[in-house]
Amino acid sequence: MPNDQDSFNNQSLQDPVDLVARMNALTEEDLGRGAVGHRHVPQGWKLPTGVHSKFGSHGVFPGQELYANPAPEGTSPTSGLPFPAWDPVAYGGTIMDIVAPNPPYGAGTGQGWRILSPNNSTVDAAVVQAQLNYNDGSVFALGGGSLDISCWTEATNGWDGSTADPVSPLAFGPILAVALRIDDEWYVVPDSMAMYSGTLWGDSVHARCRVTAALCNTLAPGGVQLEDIAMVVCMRRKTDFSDGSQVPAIFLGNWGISVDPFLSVEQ
Amino acid sequence: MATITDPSPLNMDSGEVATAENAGQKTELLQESAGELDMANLQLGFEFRQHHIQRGTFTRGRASGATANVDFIGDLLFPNYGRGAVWEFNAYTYENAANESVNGVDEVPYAPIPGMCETMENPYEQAARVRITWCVSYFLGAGVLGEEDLSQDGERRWTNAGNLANDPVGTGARAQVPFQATGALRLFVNGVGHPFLFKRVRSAMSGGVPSTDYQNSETQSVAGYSDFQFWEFSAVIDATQVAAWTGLTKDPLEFGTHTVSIRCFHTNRVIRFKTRYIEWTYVK
Repeated sequence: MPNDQDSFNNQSLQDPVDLVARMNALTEEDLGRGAVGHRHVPQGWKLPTGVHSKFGSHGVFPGQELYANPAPEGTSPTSGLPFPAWDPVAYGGTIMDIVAPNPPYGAGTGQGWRILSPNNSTVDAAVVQAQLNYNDGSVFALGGGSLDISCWTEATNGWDGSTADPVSPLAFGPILAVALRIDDEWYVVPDSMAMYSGTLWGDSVHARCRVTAALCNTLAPGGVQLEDIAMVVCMRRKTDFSDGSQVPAIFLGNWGISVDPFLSVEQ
Repeated sequence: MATITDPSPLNMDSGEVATAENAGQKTELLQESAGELDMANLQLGFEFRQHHIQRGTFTRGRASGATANVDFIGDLLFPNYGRGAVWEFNAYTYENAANESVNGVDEVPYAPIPGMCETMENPYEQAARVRITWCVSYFLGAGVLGEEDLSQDGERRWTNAGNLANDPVGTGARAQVPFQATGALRLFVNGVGHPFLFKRVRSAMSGGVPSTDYQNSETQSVAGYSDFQFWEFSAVIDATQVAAWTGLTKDPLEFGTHTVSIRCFHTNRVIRFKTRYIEWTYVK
């Protein structure tokens, strides 16, 4: 404490040891909890990597790229199963586009979900690493922690009256969703799917979902680790789409994916 | 309570002029009033508990929003890009990625949208992240970059009936309007726009009907397109994002006061912002 100019005794203004002893758990987190008149937010929690979001664009910045990948169908890519097929066991294969080059990152035409990424990059893709075990007794595994995931991208499929590519029929999507990679297998979270049909002209499409250990066990019962979280997109069409028709596709521009981990219960 | 002892039992007789020293000694009669409080002054056994510390004395999050219409008139806000301007804002097109140019995004001016501006107060020395959530809805008007040949595409303006005069998806020179770039909404923190969190805004595609016209429903273009749009996202800004945020010199994760806003640039005749909100929360 600085010396006072007057004759006040500044000795007593120093923090005595027993003052601290009288305080009950006055950590910074406790002092900062909640807000009078505002929302009360639980104590913070971080992802192991320390990275919680990813933002980007497409093409040559600030560009757009055309995604023309149809939804996966069938127990294999060549036979039929009611869409959406997010169960790799029943589907018999990955739901992600595995067609070269650089699957499943970025724009493409192969069948399957694709991760948003500029120029098909595996590094700059809309993927956030989670690295969370969900069956090992950790906070996340015990249901104390949850992840709030928010995705957004610009989308354009604007109809200009022509029949040439790349403008697509309006009723076929796109479908934006959150996908989780668990033990090397990708799963699309069913209740994160958001389908946007009709004309989109630089519109904003978004998908939100909450991921818990219980949800992970629904997708992959008894699995080990939630490895990655990604924003994925596909169009809805059958593989035998009529020849001569415009291929359903969507231009995607700027995008963002955010993962907000929070503790569900008092820790 | 400490024992009170007069340190200077000096009588000041009436009629005498007291010196300053005498008066000062009397003022300091009580050591407690002189600042000498210590733990002995506290009730025996008293402990500070969490409920004594008011939860929320530090602001951790706040939201603000608005529902009243606010019109951004392109000609007035951004006169350099109005009718007849030489410099065209052409950073984006929707036609083909190959036709884009990269200039313009950081060069044009942006105007903050009322109801989407907040002051963020960070109570932590170093927050782990700040989460910014927003949703803005708006109604598009036509472009201000009108063609010279009014007989072909007409001038888009609000009529007395409250309608836009022409359908911009026409057969004349304006048929390419769908591909005309007109602006962007962008996230700003501490006065610096985010490199990727901006959303393109284009001109109206339909005849359009203002929200004050209750007699007519919104007309739509040949493409069946509505000129009502919205942008919603919840962005987590952590240390990695701050490092990647080009031009951001004031770190919003540091202790102190910061600003956040959604700002708009456009060359439309008007954009009408409607329901909107922005919300921020710091997490330790």
